[in-house]
Amino acid sequence: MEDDTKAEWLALGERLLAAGPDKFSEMLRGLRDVVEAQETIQRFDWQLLHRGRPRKRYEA
Amino acid sequence: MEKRREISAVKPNAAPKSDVDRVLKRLEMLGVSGEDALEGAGYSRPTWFRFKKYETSIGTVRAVEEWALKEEAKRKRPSTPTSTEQQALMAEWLALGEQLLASDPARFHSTLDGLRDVLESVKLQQRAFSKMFRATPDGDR
Repeated sequence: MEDDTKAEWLALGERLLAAGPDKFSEMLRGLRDVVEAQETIQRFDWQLLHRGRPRKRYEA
Repeated sequence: MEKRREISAVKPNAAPKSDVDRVLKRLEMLGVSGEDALEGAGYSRPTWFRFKKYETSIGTVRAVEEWALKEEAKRKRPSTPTSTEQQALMAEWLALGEQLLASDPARFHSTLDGLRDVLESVKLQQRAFSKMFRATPDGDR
């Protein structure tokens, strides 16, 4: 992550946490779900790739 | 023989024993001293001695009970994270951000945009509430 992006990401997180721990926890849970879903998609793609199927067909 | 008028020991606004007991029980559950509770409710600390001897008024009992209820509500509220917890939360926040950026940069940037909007709306909401619930609406003109 670039320094500017990292600084903004952290600043937004801190402001969100200051605005309300509940709101922040909710956002953190959502992020965990998104990251987990991305990992699942990538694993699925990797499995398809290794079966020799054309990857392009499964991309959005 | 001089007849003396019998003065009733019970004052008309004296608090019933059961009410005092209920408040005492509540304070015990909260783990606060009676002096602290009375001070919190706006009474002087020595009032406690009369309170515990059941020589108190309905108004005092009611005020202490209201204070105890507020204290109970405060304790039920989620506490603000300590600085160590805050650091741990921010570390997870950064790690998740980095993971998201690595796996899906477009989604990361749209999340960043969304976050800016969320914080802007929080600011607007706070400003709106302060306008609506200001004690003197024309006070700062």
